[in-house]
Amino acid sequence: MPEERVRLESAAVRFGRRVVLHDISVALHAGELACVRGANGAGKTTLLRLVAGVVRPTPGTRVGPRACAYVPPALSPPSLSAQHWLRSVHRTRSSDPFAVLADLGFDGDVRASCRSLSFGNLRKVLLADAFSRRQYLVVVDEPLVGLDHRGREGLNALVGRTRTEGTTVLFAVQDDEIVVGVDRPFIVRDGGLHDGRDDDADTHVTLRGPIRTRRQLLDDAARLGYRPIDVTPE
Amino acid sequence: MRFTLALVARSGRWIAPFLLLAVWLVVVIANPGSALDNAANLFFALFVVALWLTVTTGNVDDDPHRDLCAASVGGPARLQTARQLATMVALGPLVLIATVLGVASGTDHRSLGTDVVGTLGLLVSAGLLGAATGGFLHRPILANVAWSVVLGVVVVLGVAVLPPLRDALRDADRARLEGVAALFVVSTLSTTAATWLSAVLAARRN
Repeated sequence: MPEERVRLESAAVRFGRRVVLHDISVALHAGELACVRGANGAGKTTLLRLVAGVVRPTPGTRVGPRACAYVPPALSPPSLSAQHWLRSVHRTRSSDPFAVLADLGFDGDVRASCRSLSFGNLRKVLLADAFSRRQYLVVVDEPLVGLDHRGREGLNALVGRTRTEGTTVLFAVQDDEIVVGVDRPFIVRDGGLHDGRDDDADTHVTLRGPIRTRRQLLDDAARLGYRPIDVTPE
Repeated sequence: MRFTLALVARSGRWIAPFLLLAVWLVVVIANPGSALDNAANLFFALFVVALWLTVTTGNVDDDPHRDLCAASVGGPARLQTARQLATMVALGPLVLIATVLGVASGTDHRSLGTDVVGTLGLLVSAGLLGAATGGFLHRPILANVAWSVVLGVVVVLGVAVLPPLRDALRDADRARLEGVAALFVVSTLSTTAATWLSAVLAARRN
């Protein structure tokens, strides 16, 4: 059994009187790719913030690394350039962040302010930052948002490489999106975390493996009754 | 801390508090008294600028970006402490400049050592107290910027009547250092406690 990276025990999150998540118990291990699916407002982002250690469980416990890489779904870009960001936000890197940025198909100006970057290029900067760090845990909310085809291929390769280094990767996607090669599928529903395999075992068995072509993905998605990720006409 | 300082520097939000301090310095230098009198006059400027800069630093980014930074440094409590320390580091040169100008423009030099120590003590205390207070007046502890402004003004007015400060400023007017020393000790201890408390609150409120 690989080494345990992060564990939540009977964790709950409340915002005021509203209980967003309750009784969450899960352990993620080294090199695993876990993916949380759920509808809007189900608590996916809150769960990811909980795993990342950004929000405290009340009650419950989180056992895991204090620091990790967390990529939010969207943010107001800072005035820093991408170059400045990648050089100063984090010093300990496992790989060159600019090489990772190139792998993701970044085509903007790294010396320009992040405010002038397109949404997709800003996402690539965030992903390059997260996946080039020397971390035990990488948490990405909505990893596919804003990424073009090359970005998705690059992300797929990055995830594979990161996992072989023993880093645990956690994604959150919409309830009808598909992520390739997931080890631990989860579903957030009614404030609880459920095993995704129980709900739709076929999905994850079918989609395990390398990234698929757009046509294969569309066929898979249509067969399984899911909305395809990429619906642009060929 | 380095990243926080870079964020604040590039945001341009530091300009307004710096301008306030610059104007205040010009007014004090144009109407000089003794060095310690100048320091007493600059005390509130430094306090307000420190408070303003701390709130600005705390609110320099939006919630998702703060989450990213918090995860990166090991949690919202660490981020809160790092940002407060970053503000104090940024205030260091301002305190030194204000000290030099306050002492240099002083009209009645009794002893250079007394002037420098007294001025530095008062202005460092002002910076510490401002940063400590400002740490409670920004996200995630206080989400609404309007309330930050209202509470900031109340704090500034309230601080003026607190005994340690009142006594220190009165002593400074009389060129004595006892009150200044007491204020320095009180502000150092209260800033340490406030930094710890604001980190705890930030972790709970995030």
